[in-house]
This record gives sequence, C-alpha cells and structure tokens, in this order.
Amino acid sequence: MRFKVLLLVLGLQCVWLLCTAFVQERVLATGKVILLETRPVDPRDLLRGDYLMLSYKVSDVPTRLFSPPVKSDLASAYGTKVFVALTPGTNGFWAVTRASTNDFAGSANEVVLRGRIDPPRWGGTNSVHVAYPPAIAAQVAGPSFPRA
Amino acid sequence: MKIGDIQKLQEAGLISAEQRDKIVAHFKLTEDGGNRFLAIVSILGAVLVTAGIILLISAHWNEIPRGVKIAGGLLLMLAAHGGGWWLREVKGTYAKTGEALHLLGSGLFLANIALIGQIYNIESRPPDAFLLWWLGIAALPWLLRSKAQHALLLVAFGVWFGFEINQRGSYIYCGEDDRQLLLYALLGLVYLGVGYGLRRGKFADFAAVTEKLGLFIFLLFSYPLTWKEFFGRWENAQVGQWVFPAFAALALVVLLATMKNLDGLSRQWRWTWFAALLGMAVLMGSVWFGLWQTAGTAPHSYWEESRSYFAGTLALFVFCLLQVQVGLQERSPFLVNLGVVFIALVILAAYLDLLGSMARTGLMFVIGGVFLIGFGVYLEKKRRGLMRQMKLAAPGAGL
Repeated sequence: MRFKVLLLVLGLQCVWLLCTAFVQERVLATGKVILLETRPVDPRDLLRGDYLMLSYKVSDVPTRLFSPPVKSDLASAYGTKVFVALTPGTNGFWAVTRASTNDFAGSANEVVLRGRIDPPRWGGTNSVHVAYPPAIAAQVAGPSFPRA
Repeated sequence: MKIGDIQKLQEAGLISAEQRDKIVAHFKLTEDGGNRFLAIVSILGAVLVTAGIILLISAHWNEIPRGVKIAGGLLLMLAAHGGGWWLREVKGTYAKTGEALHLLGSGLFLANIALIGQIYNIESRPPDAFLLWWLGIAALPWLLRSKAQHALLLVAFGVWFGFEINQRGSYIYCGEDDRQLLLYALLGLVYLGVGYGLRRGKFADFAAVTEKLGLFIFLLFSYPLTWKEFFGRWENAQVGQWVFPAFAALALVVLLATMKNLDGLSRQWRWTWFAALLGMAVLMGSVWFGLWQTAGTAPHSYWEESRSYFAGTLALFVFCLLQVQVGLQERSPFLVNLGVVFIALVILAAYLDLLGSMARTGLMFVIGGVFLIGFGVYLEKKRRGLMRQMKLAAPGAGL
C-alpha cells in the first residue's frame, strides 16, 4: 500500500514537471516570435567587478505613452498590471508604441504584453519600469528567445 | 573500537584470547587499515568521476536538447527514490544509504523545478517554486517513515517562508526590514509546539527532530536581539503591522495546546517554560512595534540604534538558563548543550556591545582574549558537569 502511494506521489511530481514542460513547448511551437532589443545596465559592481547585466528596452516605458496617464506617485502604483503594445520597428526590433493600465486589444501589427509596474532600478522619473514575467507574456505572444 | 586495541588489551593480560575473540565476533570487527584505505581511494575516485561528469555536462549544456535534460532530471530523481526503496525496504540492508538516496530524490525534485524554470525562462514568483517543492514532498516523511525527510520538509517550509516574506506584494511581506528575523524566530516556536504535539500519536518518531530544529531556529533568530546595531532600521511602511501578532498568537496557541505532552516536567515547570517562551514572544513584539526606539531620533535613519539589546541580552540569558534546567529535567543533552552554547554567545555579544568600542586598543584585545579563553574553559567544565549529572540521574537520556 505504502509503495503504491509513494508511486502516486512520485507520479504526481513527474506529471507536474511534464505538464509544465508541455505547456511551454506548446507556446514555443505556436507562439509568435518578437525580437526585443536589449541594453546594458549597471555594468560595474563592487564585488563582481566589470560585468554585463542586460535589460529589455521595452522594460522602461515612457510615461507619455500611457493612456490614461499613470499616477504621478509611482510608488503607490507598484504591482499594478499594465498592458504594453509593441510594433516592429525598421531595425527589426519591436518597440513600445502605447501602454495602459487598462486591458486593450492590439491592432493587426501590434502585440500586447502584460506586465506589472516595478520599482525603478535605474533611470529617471519620466518612465515606468515594467516587469514582464515571461510565463505571462508567453500567453499573449510567446517568449521572444527561449534559451535552454 | 579497533581490533588493534583489543589485541593490545590481550597482550597486556587484561583479557584472555577467548575473550578477545568473543569481543571481536560481537562487534564484528575487521582488520584495520586496508578497508579504510580502500574507502578513501573509492571516495576520491567517486568525487573525481562526479566532478568530471558535471564538467562535461556543463560544457555542453546549451547543446543538449531540452527533452534530454528533462528526461535526465526525471530519471535521476526516480532512480534515487527507486534505489532508496530497494535498499531500505526490499533488501533491508544499508538503511541509512537508502534514506540518503530518498533525500537526494526529494532534493532532485526541487532541482527539476529549477531546471524547468531555467529551460523555459519561467520567472514567476520564486516562493511558489519552493511551495510546490514543499507540497510535492509533503507526504514522503509519512510514506518513507523517514526522520531525515521530515527534517527536509521542515527546512523546505522555512525556505518558502523566507522567500514569501521577502516577496514584494506578498500578504506577509517584510522585506528590507530587520524585523523579519523575528518572524523566523516565531516559526521556530511553531515548530517547537508542533514537535511537542507529535510526542503522542503515530508520528512520535518525528517529535524530537521537530523540537530540536524549532528550538534551534528560535534561538538562532532571537540572537540578533542581543546586538547593539540591529533592529535600528525598523520601519518599512509596506510591512503589515498585523503579521507579527498573528504569527505570535499562532505559535503561542500551538505551544499552549501541546505543552501538556512534556512528561518530564512537573506542572509548575511546564508553566514556567511556557512563561519563558511567552516572555520572549512579548519582548520580540515590543521590538516589532518599535517600543525600544530612542526618543527624538529619526525612525528612518539607516544605522539608528535601538535600546532593545539591553533587554534582549538579559532575556535571552535568562531564557537559556531556564532551557538548561528544562533540559536536565527532560534528560535532554541537546537542550542542555544548546542552552550552554547560546549562553556563551549571549555573553560574547554583551561583551562586544559594552566593550567593543574600546577593542581598537591592543590592551583591550589582550584582556578580551584572556577573558574569552577563561570563560570558555569555565563554561565547558560546567557543561560536562551537567552532562554527568544527567547521566547519573537516569541512564536512558531523552531527546
């Protein structure tokens, strides 16, 4: 009996792992690929020395692109869901064209990513730092460059 | 016990050849030397082979197909559990090795969760990964009758708790705030209470490990109460003030409900022990609500001092003394040893708090060193005395 229950527990562990992999593989197979430009930030660290940390350009959305406008007190907006529309640029990279805290449908050449407002790590007050959990973004558009 | 020592006893005329053979047969002693050398060489070889395999895989990690990585992770996990079950339950030998394999299997489940996250760049809430791990292995201590699995389960819950506390947006968020250590101390109290509760019933075997881990966690995270420059940066506006009272109430209710299972203590001592735990919780509560902040100072300044270390040092010292007494009555060497260790740590903290600013001078280094050596010798003598006292009182020690 114990052995059967153990098999059930181990089976459930495997099922969860395989199901997660299956869902992600399905997104990779059917999702739309968008090319996002990266930019280096904070390239020096007291402990690590010179190194490279990358961020997406679309992670910082200018406040002027928000409609309706975001709150002036951004600290109170941390965690708020935002929807960011991207369109392909001339250089092949996708860029932000508009954003909103309300959900909206994108036009034919737009991809709308869902993210949330995060505390800014770098940069000034003219932009909103948006975190895009790839799992959530993948539901809309699929991860841009899945790496193993 | 070595076979060479038995041989020397016989050569000295203390035992006969017949007695020597009986002792050797009883303890199943084998010739010294060869086996140990073989074991060392085997371990070194295993380490080299493992390191080589790891390096080989890491060097070609990006080229390995995703399916192979996932299948490899799953197979390793299942093989670890399968091997563990075979050794413990089927073959019936090498039970400890079997238990270690099961432990490895549980660890590999977490590794597989991380692997899936890494392969598909899943970066959702990190605490959720640990919660999933905890849920996945929650039934294993019962299924495997394994204390090690139970300890791992408690650690897994603690890790989730720590990540959840530091996750922005969490209901129990307490990140960037020294006071989160107080919540870990309360978690230790909850474990302690749960351990007392497990003493009676089907899971009595898991009681000792739960109590030990709980008390250790409690003391470990209470210890910063004795530090001078701690709990100064105390007010994070995003921290819910209700979190500490809620957890403290939970811990105290669990302790109150299970304290009756402390059979080694008289009713009076049970209440004394509960009062000691309650007193520590109240002290931590006063620190949580900032009652020890020096008046007239800015609450947000980075290195603001808190006066709580005066009370913290005294309270923890008295608590440890009581713990030693409780340990003697419960016949628990662990309680006594842990109490003595933390008494030493509390005195060390008090020494540094009071005289630390003078320690820049050479003379203070000399005086401090002599004091610490002398105090250490005294404390160790005291500890050995307590251990002897406990053994004389009753041959079968408790926890």
